[in-house]
Amino acid sequence: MEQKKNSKSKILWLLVLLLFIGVAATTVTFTHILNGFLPDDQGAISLQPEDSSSGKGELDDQATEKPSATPQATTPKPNFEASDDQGAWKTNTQVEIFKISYQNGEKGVTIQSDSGYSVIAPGAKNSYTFKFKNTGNAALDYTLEMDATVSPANYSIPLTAKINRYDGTWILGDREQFASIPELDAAEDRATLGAGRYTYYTLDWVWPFEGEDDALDTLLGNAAADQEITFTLWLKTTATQSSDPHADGGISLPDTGDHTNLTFWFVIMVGSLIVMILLFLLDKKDRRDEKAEA
Amino acid sequence: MKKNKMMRVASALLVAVLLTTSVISGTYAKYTTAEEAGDTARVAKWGVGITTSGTLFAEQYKDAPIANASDDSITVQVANHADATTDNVVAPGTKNEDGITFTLTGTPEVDLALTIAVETKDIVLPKKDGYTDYTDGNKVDTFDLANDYHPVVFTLTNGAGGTLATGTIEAIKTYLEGLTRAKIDSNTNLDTYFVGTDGTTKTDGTYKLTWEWAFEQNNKADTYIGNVIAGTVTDATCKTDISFDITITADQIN
Repeated sequence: MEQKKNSKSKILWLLVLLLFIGVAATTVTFTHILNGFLPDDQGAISLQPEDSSSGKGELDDQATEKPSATPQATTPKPNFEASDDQGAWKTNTQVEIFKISYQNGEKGVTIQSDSGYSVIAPGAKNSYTFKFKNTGNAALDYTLEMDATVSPANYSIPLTAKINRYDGTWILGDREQFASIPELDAAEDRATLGAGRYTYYTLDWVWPFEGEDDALDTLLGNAAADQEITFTLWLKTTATQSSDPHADGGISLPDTGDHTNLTFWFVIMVGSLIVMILLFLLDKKDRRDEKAEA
Repeated sequence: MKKNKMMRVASALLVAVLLTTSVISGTYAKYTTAEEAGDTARVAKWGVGITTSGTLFAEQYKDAPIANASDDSITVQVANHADATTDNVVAPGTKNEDGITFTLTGTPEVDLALTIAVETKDIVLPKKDGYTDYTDGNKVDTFDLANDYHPVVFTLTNGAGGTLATGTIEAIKTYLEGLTRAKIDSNTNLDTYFVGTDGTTKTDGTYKLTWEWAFEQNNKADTYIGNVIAGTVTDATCKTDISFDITITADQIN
């Protein structure tokens, strides 16, 4: 029994040692990666003399290398993200600009798709807000463009829209006026987003109920009973690193103050779990052995 | 036994290394490139159909079905029926069993209001005592009417032939205007929206209006009315025009 206990203790220590080696290896790997982001000090002059009793002259002697003519900066790492309240945009992301039903002022549903497919009709309207974030460490220049199409192309839908940016800039239309689909298709915005900053846009659209052309509305509605007449709107954005990395357009992202290295603690947690499982298995085996001996 | 333990330890370490590797690889996947987002919608269906066919009144009538192509016998006709401006005519013994048909169809994806407005005129001899009886030629005898006399009887049926309303043209007007609805919900099939006169049975969206002026109904009153129409008797209280105009309107509501 004593021998068994010693054996168990040795194994345990062996496991702990191996785990320590694993964690150390992980830390070394992380450090190697993080090292790429540390400032390059080559050519820099030390501000602290090696011998603290030395006078000023010795400081000059220690400057054996002239500093580099160009200042060494942090490696820019841009990170641009577009999103709405449902999540981040990826490639060809389907978002909810249109709906399958619409309510009137008294919260009664007055327009309802019969198929679960989004619809538009006189009186329908909606608002869609989306956000651009720069969580990197360098400014980004971005472009926002629209692509609005009606199919079949020979139809004209009297839907109108307006777009404004967080700072009150109207990209399309204005506070009182909506713009037509051709104007929506041509709308675009170009701006710079500073490091750690974000911006947002609000797109409002409406198909006027008391529009100028009831005959057109009726013609479209009747035609829609026999064929699909669709309206598609794409919001396209591209972002490139700004020539001025310190440009500061946009709103500052809030700093949560939590800088904990979660990855490190996650590795520790997983390692602990593995040790717990192994100890449980070993204990189980020992009990089995003891039973066998008995 | 020892080998087994070592195998377990080795396996556990392998798992730990794999987990660590996945975490490291995760640090390279943080950068995302936003591209584009969009949505598509189709125009909501309207497709409300209101169609009419047929005529109620004509310039001439036959008292029996047409026997063959050469049968052109006519029992009642307008005196100048070849004249395009001549009025249509009704008389005792005339009827129109084909009448006019109007249909309501469609399943719009929007709420709507349905308005039916009917304008009518009817031939009527008001109730009164002492009308001159012109049937016996002496112009002395009289006859009385206890109620207003409407000689033309209208019948409104559905597509299956079920009678929805019958009687004076005013009764038809009341029934049809009763189909007016301030709000019909979206995705309602108008073909089968309304119920018949029993209050429960759905009628289809087809309505047919016919009429008849029975030949043997009230000869004295019919003769009196005929004389008023011909102008041989003057009686402003006797109405001799008959007409039926229906306007059906469907409007989207918001």
